[in-house]
Amino acid sequence: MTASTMSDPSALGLDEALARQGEAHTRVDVDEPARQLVLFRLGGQRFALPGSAVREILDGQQSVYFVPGLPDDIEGVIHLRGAIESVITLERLLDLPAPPAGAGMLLLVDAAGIRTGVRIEALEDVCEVSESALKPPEALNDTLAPFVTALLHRDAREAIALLDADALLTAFQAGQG
Amino acid sequence: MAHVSLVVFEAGQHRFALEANRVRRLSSTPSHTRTAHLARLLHLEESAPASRWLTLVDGAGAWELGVTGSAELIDWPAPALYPLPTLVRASVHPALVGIAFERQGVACWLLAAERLTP
Repeated sequence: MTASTMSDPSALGLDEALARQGEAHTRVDVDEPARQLVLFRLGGQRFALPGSAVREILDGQQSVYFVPGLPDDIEGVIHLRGAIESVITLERLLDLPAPPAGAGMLLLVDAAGIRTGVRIEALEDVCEVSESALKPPEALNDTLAPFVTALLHRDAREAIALLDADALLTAFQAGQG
Repeated sequence: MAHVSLVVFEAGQHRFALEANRVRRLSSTPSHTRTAHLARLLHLEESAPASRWLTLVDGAGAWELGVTGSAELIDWPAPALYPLPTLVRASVHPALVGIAFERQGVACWLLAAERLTP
């Protein structure tokens, strides 16, 4: 190593570099709280639900039985291992384009005192994100604002809106009354 | 195995069942003045004219429920009768209380006779 390199203020010794790197990893992995999220698409937009509210992810091939007299945003019921669960769509509540019938997948969501299947367009990921990656929602329209608790900027695409499962299902039930 | 005796029939392209001990009589022509077609009570799409009339009793006396197709008496295993989820119960006719699955997964909707009225 030359004298000029030694005097470079950005140059580090190997031990110091490794120590810094280890410290950085310690901050991310241990100190910072993380949340599990289920990321999905609905009506062409990106959303997430807390993993704690999603009991199960089901493929879209599940037989849905149409119940006579149901409103449009309750698809019907599914028979899931000896239990009957409702299947709903959230597009009307969130003012999103109506989904093609029976397309996509189902999330079995437990919130607001009920359990129901929620039809989604596509599953994107199930992942853990640090709390600091969740930013306060800004510039949301009046329809989405009551249901979005944070925005996640995960990549160069549009932000992912983290939904409040309790608020969603409470509003959905109120809309059925 | 515990079972429930059900009278199973059709209306508006769907299969339905009532508890057999709620059905007093089954006939091909109505004989009471108080009658109603099940498809109309449940606001179903247009249904064929009633071909069977089930005599039920409510607080005002006997009345007849019109259904289509044949009416069968079936002893259904109790564990195979499922209540509808809360969200669905809140959105449909109050007489629609459960579901059972016939052969090949055909849904049969369970009706509470006491919640039907002409």
